[in-house]
Amino acid sequence: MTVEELRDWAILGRIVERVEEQKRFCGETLLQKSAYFLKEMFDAPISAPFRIYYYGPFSFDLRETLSTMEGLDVVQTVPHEWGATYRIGRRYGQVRDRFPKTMQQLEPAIDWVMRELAPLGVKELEPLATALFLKREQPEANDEMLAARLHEIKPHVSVDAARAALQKVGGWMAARA
Amino acid sequence: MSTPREKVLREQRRAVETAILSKRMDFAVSRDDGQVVSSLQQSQLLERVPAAIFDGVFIVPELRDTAERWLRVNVRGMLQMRIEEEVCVRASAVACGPENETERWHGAARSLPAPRVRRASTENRDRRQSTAGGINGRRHRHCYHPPMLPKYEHEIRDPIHTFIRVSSDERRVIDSRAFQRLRHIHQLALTFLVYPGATHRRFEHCLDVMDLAGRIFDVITRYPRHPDVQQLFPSDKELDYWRTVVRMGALCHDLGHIPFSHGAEAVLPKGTHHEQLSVDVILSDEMRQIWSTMKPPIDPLDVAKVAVGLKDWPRDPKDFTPWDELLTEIVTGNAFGADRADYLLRDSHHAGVAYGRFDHHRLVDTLRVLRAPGTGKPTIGIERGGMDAAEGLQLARYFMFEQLYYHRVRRALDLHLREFLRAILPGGVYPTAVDEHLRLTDNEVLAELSKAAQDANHPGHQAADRILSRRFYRVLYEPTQDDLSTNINAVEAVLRAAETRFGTSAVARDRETKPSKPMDFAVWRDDGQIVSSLQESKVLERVPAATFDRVFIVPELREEAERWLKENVRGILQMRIEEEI
Repeated sequence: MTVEELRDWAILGRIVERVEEQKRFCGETLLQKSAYFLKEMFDAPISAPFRIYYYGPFSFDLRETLSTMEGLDVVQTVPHEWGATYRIGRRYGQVRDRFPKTMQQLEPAIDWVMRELAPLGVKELEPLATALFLKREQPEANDEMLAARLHEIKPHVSVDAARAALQKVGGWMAARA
Repeated sequence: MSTPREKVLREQRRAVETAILSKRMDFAVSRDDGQVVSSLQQSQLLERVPAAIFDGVFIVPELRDTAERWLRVNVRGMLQMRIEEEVCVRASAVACGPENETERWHGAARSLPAPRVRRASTENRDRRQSTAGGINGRRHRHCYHPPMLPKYEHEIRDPIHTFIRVSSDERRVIDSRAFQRLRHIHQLALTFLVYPGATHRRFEHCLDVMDLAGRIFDVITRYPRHPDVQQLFPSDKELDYWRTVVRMGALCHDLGHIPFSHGAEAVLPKGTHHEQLSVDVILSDEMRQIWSTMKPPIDPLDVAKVAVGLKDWPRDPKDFTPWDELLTEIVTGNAFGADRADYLLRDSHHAGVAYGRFDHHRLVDTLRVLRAPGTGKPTIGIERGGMDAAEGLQLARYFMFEQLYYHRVRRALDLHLREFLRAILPGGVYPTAVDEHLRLTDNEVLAELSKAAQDANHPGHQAADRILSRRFYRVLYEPTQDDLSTNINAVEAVLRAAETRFGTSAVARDRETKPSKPMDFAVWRDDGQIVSSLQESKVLERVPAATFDRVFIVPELREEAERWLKENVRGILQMRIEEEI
């Protein structure tokens, strides 16, 4: 594995570890959207590229990464009523210990993920991640234009809900700035 | 009471009778009473088996429609004719056309370099075979064989699913240059050098994916629909259109495969994959001509979306609506895609590896459109009654990856094949222009491989020689669970140490992880609840990801390298390379 790949594992593993500590459901959607926020809002060194789909930003590379991590017992999955929930595997410690600086730098961002994203369900995460995508894609556009665009991409999200998501993400971005 | 000998003789007789159903066969039979008699005297069946007879007239395809019309009008009168057969055939060729078109036809017939109408019969087998093969690559179409009815559905025999039925529109796609090319692309690359039976091609796989996809579409749209997804389905009339799209998408899903399919895909330009090429071929002018003349015309973009799916869609992924996603799941879906179902069954059959079988009939019959628990996204799930079949599919997939797709020799051959292709292709990369792509098949590569192996000055000589003389890479190292617990990056550490010791050209690494875990899909329980498969199945959560990570060494250094590794592996695993510590 390259250093970049191992670092991705360490970051994803840390999210899984923290969600597990909170005894919450840690599905793939939470990991996908958390990784996207960490990459785009906190400049976390996550190598997986994201694209916008009907259900929001998603990375098939990240899905493969999770599969490899599971194959090597860095993470595990256990059944849950909503599907599989991720847990830390036997070899996660080995990966985490190789990136003490990255882990230390990213810890406040992961705190933020635990506070703002981990309690949310899939239906709330999707419009928020899409709102961030649109704000990054069209930094000059105002929220009204972006809300219309978000509704266009995801017709199952109402314009009001889109507006609310954009407002929330705008607040987060302003706080970061 | 029969004696054992009598039983054996009876069994033998039955076997012979069954084996020769096409011809009355006269052979000597040794009876139990010691007499030798004719088989026709002994058997009541043999004398009744008719001789297989064939006698027909073929016509070149471009004249088929006109000739058939002409024949329908004239056949009665012609059958009254009492002349030499040879004359009759020639007369047919000349007069093949309505009276008022005779002159035009005569001109056309005279300008042809070869006869346009040919006769084939059992009396002239050799000639029949040569004429059926066609002239200049064009097949002669069967024009007259009494009784004759126009056909709008055609059957193709298949070793896995017995019959594949195709419509006339689908047959036009099958007859296209792009699809015929798949006759010359091996399904499993060079696996036939390991499993000799694995010589099957993408052609038959695609036909069957189309057949399976059509069946899945029928089941999920016609069987009782879950009330939560009812509004997702279009009207019945529209469903007919989408059924055609799904079958066409399934048929075309592998048009972009380069020679030796996945085995060589790494020689595509960076960032390109075969799905991109499939889309390019489907949207090419050549194929658009076929799509546009269908009734109703088909939007090639719809076909392309279904063919490659959301994950590999080279354009804007926002093009996919939930309905589109559902349709692509039928073909390329991770859990129940027709592509996967067929390749497991087919590869298993041809390779002689029994692990790929599962109860696909039951599985297909229990597929339903459901909302996934948790996300609420419409997806293809199953009724609870299909769970065993779904578990069978997942196990089959795991075993097939372990046994066949990740076979160490096959993977070593892939490494040499890629090396060879990089050496012979301009710039070391595969050409992605549609026309160039369609001109290249396994045949061209195999011919070049053979040439290169015999020519020490050929740029691909070394790789070709390793493949054809079976001097391919051997496995030097695969980590144990203990090794990984010591060093999660154990393979990288061994690779670097081996490269330093033996040189980069003598060592190679190969790794992959599939299938993705977890196999999480929606299950419609008998009590009406929709739940996750992982909650419902005790098996699925336990199916591990098939994964491998290996270091290879050239065979001439194998023994030395193995000794070296044995002495040094503990120290090598302690290495921490280029990491933050």
